[in-house]
Amino acid sequence: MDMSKHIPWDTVIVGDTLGPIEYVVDKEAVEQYCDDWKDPNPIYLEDSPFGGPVVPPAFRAGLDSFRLLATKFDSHATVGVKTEHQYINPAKIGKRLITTGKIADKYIKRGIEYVVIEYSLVDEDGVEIRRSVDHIALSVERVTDS
Amino acid sequence: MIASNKDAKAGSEIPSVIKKSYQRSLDELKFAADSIHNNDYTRGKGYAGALTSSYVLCGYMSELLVNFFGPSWLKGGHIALTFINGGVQQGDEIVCRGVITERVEEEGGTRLNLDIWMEKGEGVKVAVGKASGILKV
Repeated sequence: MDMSKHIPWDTVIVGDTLGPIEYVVDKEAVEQYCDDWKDPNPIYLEDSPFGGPVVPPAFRAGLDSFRLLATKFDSHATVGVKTEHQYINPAKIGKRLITTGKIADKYIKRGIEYVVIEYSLVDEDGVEIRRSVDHIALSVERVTDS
Repeated sequence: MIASNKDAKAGSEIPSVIKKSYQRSLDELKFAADSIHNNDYTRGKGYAGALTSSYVLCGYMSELLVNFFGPSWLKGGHIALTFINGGVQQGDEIVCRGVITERVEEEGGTRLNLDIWMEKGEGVKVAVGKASGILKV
């Protein structure tokens, strides 16, 4: 069997942990998100029922999994094919956020190799923000004909 | 299409969101020769051009749901998306849509389950999935 040039199949171990990765979402990052997505919701920019503005819930949702994968592999040829998120609590702007994950599964479908990343996001106080599962194709190159 | 979540019932379509797809990094960065963000590579693989990242598309679908559910989406919302049919390219006009499939009364409000999807061009679905959120009373 052939395999992805950048992420050898045999090196993808189900159960391996990924991360942590830490980052802070400051006011400027939220303003750029609102500008890029053209989504100037006041709960992100002014105030919310949660006490002050909050980070858009989709901020890095579906991106952290790629960053986590990149801590162990050359993931530049990967493609997101499924993304799933459960929102537990809003993230406060300026808090340090920590994402950790694991390789939950791997499979080959129609000749394409995939990994499943389960990951979560908590803030510096331990408040759980989000639970996620992403299915990522290692590349769009088929490794088998079936 | 219902005007607000006060009219929510199974079978109702929620207010859609229309966007012009934009990913800053596609404009500002150069990508490797075998990256799905490289125009030449993706065209060679049968796509219309460099693929917009799934997290960008997830952000557009999120707006659809935050608009409908309000802040309660951030505490109890659930979204699952599968990307299909060649994805989205920079500058594509996309429409994010959803239809309520079920109302479930639960402590703290009414949970609504939805089928959601994203269209581009002449109604081609490029993402399909499910969402669920709590309608606060």
